[in-house]
Formats: sequence, C-alpha cells, structure tokens
Amino acid sequence: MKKHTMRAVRLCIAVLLVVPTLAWSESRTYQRTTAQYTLPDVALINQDGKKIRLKTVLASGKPVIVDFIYGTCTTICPVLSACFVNLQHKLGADSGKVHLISISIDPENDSPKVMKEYLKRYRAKPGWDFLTGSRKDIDAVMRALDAYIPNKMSHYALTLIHPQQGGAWIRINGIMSSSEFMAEVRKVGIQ
Amino acid sequence: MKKTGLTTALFLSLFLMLLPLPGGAAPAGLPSLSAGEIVRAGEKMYRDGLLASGKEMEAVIKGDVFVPGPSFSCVSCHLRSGIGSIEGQILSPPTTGQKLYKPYYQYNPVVPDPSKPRKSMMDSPMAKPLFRPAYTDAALADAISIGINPAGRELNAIMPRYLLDDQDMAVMIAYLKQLSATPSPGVSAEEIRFATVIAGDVPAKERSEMLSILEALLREHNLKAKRKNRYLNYGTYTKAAAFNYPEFVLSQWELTGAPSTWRTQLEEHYRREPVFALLGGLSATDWQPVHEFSEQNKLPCLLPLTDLPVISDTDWYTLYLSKGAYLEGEVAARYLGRSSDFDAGRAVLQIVENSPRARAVAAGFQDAWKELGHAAPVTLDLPANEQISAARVGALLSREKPSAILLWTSSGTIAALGAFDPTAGKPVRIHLSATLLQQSLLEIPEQVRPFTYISYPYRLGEGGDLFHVNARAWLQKRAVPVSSSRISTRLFSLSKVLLEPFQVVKRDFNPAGRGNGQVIMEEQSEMMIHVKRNYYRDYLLDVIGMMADANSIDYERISFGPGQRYLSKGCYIVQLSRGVKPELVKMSDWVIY
Repeated sequence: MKKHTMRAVRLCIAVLLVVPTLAWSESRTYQRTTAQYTLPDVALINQDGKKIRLKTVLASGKPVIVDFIYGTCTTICPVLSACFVNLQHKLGADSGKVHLISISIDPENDSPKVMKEYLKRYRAKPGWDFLTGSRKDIDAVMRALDAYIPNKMSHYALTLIHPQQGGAWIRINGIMSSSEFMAEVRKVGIQ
Repeated sequence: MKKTGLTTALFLSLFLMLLPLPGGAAPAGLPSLSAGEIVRAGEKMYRDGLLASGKEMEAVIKGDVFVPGPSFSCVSCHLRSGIGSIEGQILSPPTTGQKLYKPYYQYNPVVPDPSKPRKSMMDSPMAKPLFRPAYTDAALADAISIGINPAGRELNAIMPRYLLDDQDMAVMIAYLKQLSATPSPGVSAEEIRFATVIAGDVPAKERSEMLSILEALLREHNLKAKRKNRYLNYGTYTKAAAFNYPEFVLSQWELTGAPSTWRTQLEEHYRREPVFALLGGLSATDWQPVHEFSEQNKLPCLLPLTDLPVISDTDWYTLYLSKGAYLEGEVAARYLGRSSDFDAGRAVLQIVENSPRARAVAAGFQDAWKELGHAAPVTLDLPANEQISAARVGALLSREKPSAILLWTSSGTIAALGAFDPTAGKPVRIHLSATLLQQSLLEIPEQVRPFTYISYPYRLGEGGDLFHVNARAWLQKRAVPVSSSRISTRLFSLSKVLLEPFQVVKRDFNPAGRGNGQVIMEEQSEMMIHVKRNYYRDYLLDVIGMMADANSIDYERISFGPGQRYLSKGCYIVQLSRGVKPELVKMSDWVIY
C-alpha cells in the first residue's frame, strides 16, 4: 500500500509538471509562417543618431529579428520589448550573436532621444537597435516585409526572424512566451 | 492497483491545481498609512510600477516573460483614468472600482426571460447573459496575481500576473476603488462647460477669429447632440431616455493686468465657474501661467495658440499644437549638424534678440545642438530694444569667422542680411526663424538666399486634396474668418481632438444609463473611443492619446499618442527661390532627426 501511495505521489508530481506544459502547448497563440522578402536599400537612424542600412545589417552574417513598435505605445510594444529583453537575458553572453531591430511605426515622435530612453527603460543590452527615419523609408520597409501599418494605433504583434544563413524569413504573428521565442531562435542557429 | 494509483494521482493533482495560490488570497489589510498616503502609494504602483518600499513590482506575461514594473505597469494598458484602452488589437477593459465591483453583462444576445412575470401585454422581460459577476476584493486579488476573473475565466495572457504581498495588494485595490470614482467638474446631465483663456492685450481680430472657430465647432457638436436627444426621447409611449447627450457651453476667461496676477485671476474664474477643460486660448505673452494653473488643477487645456509652449516630457494637462518657436531652433540644429558641408572646426554664432520668442528658438537650438554632441554656440544676447544691424553682423563675422550664423531676430534682420558678401570667399550659412520674421520672410535679399536656411513649421503648398477642400469649405460655410495668423485653421484640429472623443454615435451602446457598470463587451471596442458617459478629464486625455494620425490644414500631419503633448512634430528647412515673388523651396523632410 505504501508502495502504491509513493507511486501515486510520484505520478501526481509528474502530472502536475506535465499538465501545464500540455496546456501551454495547446494554448500557443502565435502563428508561424515563412516568406521571402527583399528589403529596400534605405538608411534608418538608430537611438544614437547613427545611420543604419538595413541591407548591411542583413548581410552581417548574424540572425536578425525585427519587430515594429513605437516609443509611447501602451499595450503591444511593452510586451514585444519584454520578449526582446528576456531573449537577451536568456542568451546571456551570446546575446551579441543576434541583432534585434525594432522599427518605429511613429517615426515623427520617435527621435533618437525618445528611442534611447525607451531602450534604457527596458535595460536593453548592446545588439538591440531601435530605428526611426522618414515616413517614406519606414513605409517602404513595412511594405517590403508585408507589415504595412498605416496607423500606429492599429498595429499588431509581429516578429520577423531572418536566419543567419539567409533565405526565407520566419514570420510570427502574435506574442510568444519566452521559451517559445527561445525555441524559434534556436531554429535559426543560435544555441 | 496501478489504475487506482493513477486515478489517485490525477485526483490529487487536480485538487492541488484548484487550491487557491497564496497570492490569490484576500488582502490581509491596508498598511497603517493615511488615506492620502495609500492613494499616493497606489498611484506609484499603478503608474510607475514601483512598490511603497521603492522596489520594482515584478510581473510575468505569457507564463514566463518576466517584466519589471517600470517597463510595463497598469497604466500602460488601462491608462491614467482606468477606463481602459484599445491598442494593437488588444482591448484593455476598465479597472476602476466603480466598474469592477459591478457585474458585467453581455449586450447581445438579449433573450426573453421566462422567469420574470409579464406585467402587461406589451411587457416582455428580457435577460442579458452575465459575462462576469461583480469583483470582490479577493476576486480582484486573484485577477491581479493569477489572472482569473470572477467567472473563472483566464484573462488575456498579456495581462501581467503581478507578484504582490498582501499589503501591496491591499494598497493596489484601495487605489483602484478610488480611481475615476467621481465625474470631473464642469459636467452636468445637460451640459459640459468649457472655457477659453484670453490673456492680456490680444488684438481684437485674433480674438474674434478664435471665438468664431470655437463657437462653430461647439455648435457642430450641439446640433448633433440635440438631434440625437430628440430621437432618443421620441414617441409618446416610451419613457424619457436615461441618457441625453450634454451640450457644450463655452465661457471666456479674460485675464488683464500684469502676467504675475493672471494665476489669481484664473483661480477666481475657476472657483466661480468650474469647467471640464480649456479650449484654444490666446496670450499676449507666454503661456506659462495658464500651463501651471492647468497642471495644478488637473484641468486639460487643448491646443492653446501660442508660440511659447512649456517644453516638458512629463507635464500632462496641456496639449499644444507644436513645440512652437523652440521647435524651429531644434530643427535648425539638426539640419546644420547633419549637413555634409558643415565645418565643425569653426564656431557657430548665435545672435538672440531680447524677446521670449527669440530666446525660445535659441533654447531649442542649444538643447538639440548639445544632444548632437557639439559645444555650445557662441551666443550674443542683444540688449533690450536693440535691433540687429548690418554693422554689428559685419564686425562679428570678421571677429568670429563662424561656419554658421543663427539670427534669432525679427525686426532689423532683413537690413542686417546686407552685411553678407557672398563674393568674399566661401559664404557662411545663415539660419533664420519663420516665426520671428513673419511676413518679412519673403524680403530676404536675393544675394544671400542660396546660403540662407529658414525653419518653417507649416506645410508647403496649398493642399488641393479632398481633406483641404472639405476643411476650407466647412470654415467658409460657417463664415469663420481665415487669416495669415492661422488661428482658425490651426484650431480646426479640434474637430479631431475634441469632437471625435465626444462623438455623437448612431447606436446607443449603453441604454441602461451612465456609469452603472453594465458595460457591453461586444460593443466596447467602439465605446472606448467615445468619452460618452465617462466624463473624466484623464479619460479625455487617454482617448486623445489613442488618436490616429490625421490631416491638418497647416501641418503636414498631426497626431497624438499616449502621453504625447505636441500635436505637430514637423518643421521644414526651406530656402527662398530667386525672383521678386520668391517661393519657399523645401530643403528637408518634415521631420529631421
């Protein structure tokens, strides 16, 4: 009887560990697709006021992860940015192996000063650039990535991952948990 | 026996999973603080994500995404008023005690309720399905800590689950209970009262243009409200509508005498006539006294007509048209700093006349110049009543040999530009401000035009698109004067900033009446963009913060976002074309970084 009780307790622990995992996997709320995109050769401006050419970033040989946010955003952007910063923490010393790019969808308000303060608030590590630029250039990038958002208030959670070796982009609609994000990043070669 | 073990394990697991977590327990009680201290501590948690101890609140999103409180606090989604928001396709419902502690019903479907007796032939009792019961303190603690609502449903995964001890939880709940608990002053069932401030000796023409556009805008709202109220109360056999759209009423607050007395006069106006918000406004000098009055009384002030707004990243209650004269200095700095032919080895000379506008342009330049990492410009502050002259400029040019000269001056500027000799070596750059030059802008001598750059904060061209045609037709139809001071055309933006939040809608989304907590889930997304029945000043500002980018008669684009306080962010750098009737030639984008 004692043996059976012990087995029941062990099984109980196992079930407690597994059930939330099953529930988690069933409740996956993001959609993952792949697509080919060609980016326009535009120079955007980062939080330090430096010009960044997106084509150069993609050719750097690092995986690149792109999202679309703005400095005073209330709901979606803080979550996307929390995911970015959690990823940087999880990668630890390897956080420099991936280039995180947040592109402003409110470029008129997002000056380098606003963007710098935003990244500071999230305790971003080096390797995460917040980019702004002319509306024309930002629109061109959004259209090229099939992510055109005509109005900042109607944006949606979108993360695009460009693998290290190039090729198709991974397009993630929705918000990932930290472990889901890490799993997606592992698929493009970061351990 | 094996089967029994598995069943026991499953049963035990389910039992353990259903046990309430420690964080979900009812709050043990408030700390021994005064009511005011509790509200301040709660506000710090709600807005800044900081506990009374100064530590950061800790929260988890999506099960394993850890967020520090200051990055993502309650105010991020539920906003200052607590009425909530809709952004990024996420609806954040109200979090005020008044709404949380009442049941939440679904609007549709409305189904017949057989349990209620029919009182007459015409009576047809209907039932609205309950979406969730009223929160209790314990249920609210569960929602905040483990994300379960009183109906047992899990909240959206992006609602952070906060790790709070019992005392902090009690402070948070106490704060939510008082949040937006009473409608703001200036509101009654029949009217919402606004005021416009006319401070000092404002020219009669300007005053008349401003009053004309404000009255036209308020009349526009009132016509729609009256029409809707007639419809809501139509019919002999139906009872009077539980809610009528209040009409807008405008008062004029005149401030006279020395600006140092304006604050007292404002307090007196406010005491006699509490208003919901201030609209537009003109001042013979700067806006600072009115700004401070608005800030301290938590009174929104929408789009005062001033070149001298208060420049602040944190002040909340005044929403300006732009950063005014300061912006013109900022863009001059950015344009100059990013020019490939700018010689960083030579000085930048700044001449500032003794006027508030010139000082504001200079401050904008200096701040942006410093941000770009440059040493402060060499500045000559002209004494009071001294105009800039060609002789003065000539002497300074030969002494300083600057790479750029910034003339933040008004009268005398055109004559002083005669000191520049473009044939004598490489000409320096000249930067000027359109706000300071006003109409004399077009008189810039032809020989200096190729190296003269003007900060120009308005759109270029007439704007023949549908928006402009309609906007100008709207003004013309209502006989609103349009002048070069751009008073009526700039205030036309209030049709977006003021009338849209108070829009009279076709359907009545909340027939049960104002503030009864029976918010309708299906229609809430549409309700959120209307201030209707949520007459809180903070909510008006929250709603304006959710405004989409829009067109404007005077600016290339206008937009507010959450916490943004300057409607237009752009300013061109222009040059004058050759000829006796020069045109403004765009040299930069609308926004320069």
